Amino acid sequence: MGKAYAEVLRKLTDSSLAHDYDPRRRFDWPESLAAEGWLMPPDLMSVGDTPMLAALDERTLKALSLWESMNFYSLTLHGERELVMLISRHIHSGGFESSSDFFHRFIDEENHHMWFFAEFCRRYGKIYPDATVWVSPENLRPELDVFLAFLRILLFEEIGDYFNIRMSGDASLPPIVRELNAVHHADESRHIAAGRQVVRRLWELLGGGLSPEERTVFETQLKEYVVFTLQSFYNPRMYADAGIRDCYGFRRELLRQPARRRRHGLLLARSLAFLRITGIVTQTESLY
Amino acid sequence: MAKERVDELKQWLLRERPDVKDLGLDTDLIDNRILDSVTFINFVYFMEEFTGKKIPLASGSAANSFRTLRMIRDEFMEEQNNEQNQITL
Repeated sequence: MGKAYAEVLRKLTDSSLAHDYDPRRRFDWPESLAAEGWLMPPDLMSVGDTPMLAALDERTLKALSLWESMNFYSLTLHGERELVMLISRHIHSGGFESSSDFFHRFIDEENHHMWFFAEFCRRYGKIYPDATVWVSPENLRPELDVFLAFLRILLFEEIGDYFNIRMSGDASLPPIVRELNAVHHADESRHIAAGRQVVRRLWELLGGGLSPEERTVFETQLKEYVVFTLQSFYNPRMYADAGIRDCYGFRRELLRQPARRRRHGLLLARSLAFLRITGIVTQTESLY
Repeated sequence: MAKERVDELKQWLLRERPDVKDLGLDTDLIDNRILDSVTFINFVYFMEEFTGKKIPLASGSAANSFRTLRMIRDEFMEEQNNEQNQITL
């Protein structure tokens, strides 16, 4: 496992270096975005698959697509800032010798992403403030805490990648939107491949042995992270910015929609399959 | 008036956590896991809707302002500060 693990990470580092780019020169930024265009396809928006999608007029829906995309990129850049801080805390610790080199590249690339998503938001809209407040008081033993941290990183990247894949190939979106999502997806696919290796490795080092009490706290914290992340896509500020009057009631109503739970299942599908295959969590339905 | 408004917050929390039977003004909402990260943000949005004021979360100290109903009342319901000695839950 050790040699194969190191070899996979070395290949991913080589691939990252081979695809190196300067984010400040990589994109052609248009002066403005078409006022009447879509910035996110309607089915990817938080109103997707719900009666509210049909109830909104096209003008409001297009405005919402702008603010939902600002929210998505804001979540991405805030999340990536957290990832960089988390990973920086660990890359020179024991157990990370084989992955340290990869994670230095990872931090380079995450810094690129934070820059270009912030640039997009500032040019064409705004960055929504980070609304993340972690209030979990239970402490896990250090190895389990590190494992959960890297699992959270993996889930965060896989959820974002679902959007990146769709938006990079959607011809109804402006070229700059497709390009940002395509570049992000290309980098993230390496991060996800590495993340799965790292999570498997850390899980093996844990020996799969969680006491029943530890499992309860672990699954509670994991679920909290998943649900919090999913609910972040329903930021009431973006509904208000799109001109929807009762932004809080609108958010509540969307979160009650069975179709949204189905969509959340799609967003999480590959992550949940990974959790089941590895045996990390067997009953994944209860995680979201 | 102040008591009814704090009661509204208390009722919201008890609806979210039906296993909790009662809450005092000084019950620690975080240490007692009345609020977790998910209910915390939903509680913030409820507070915003209820008070008509946006609550900035980016300060990093937001969680500490939400530790107890008394702290929430004192921090976010300024007009009720004069009545704080009259409130009992």
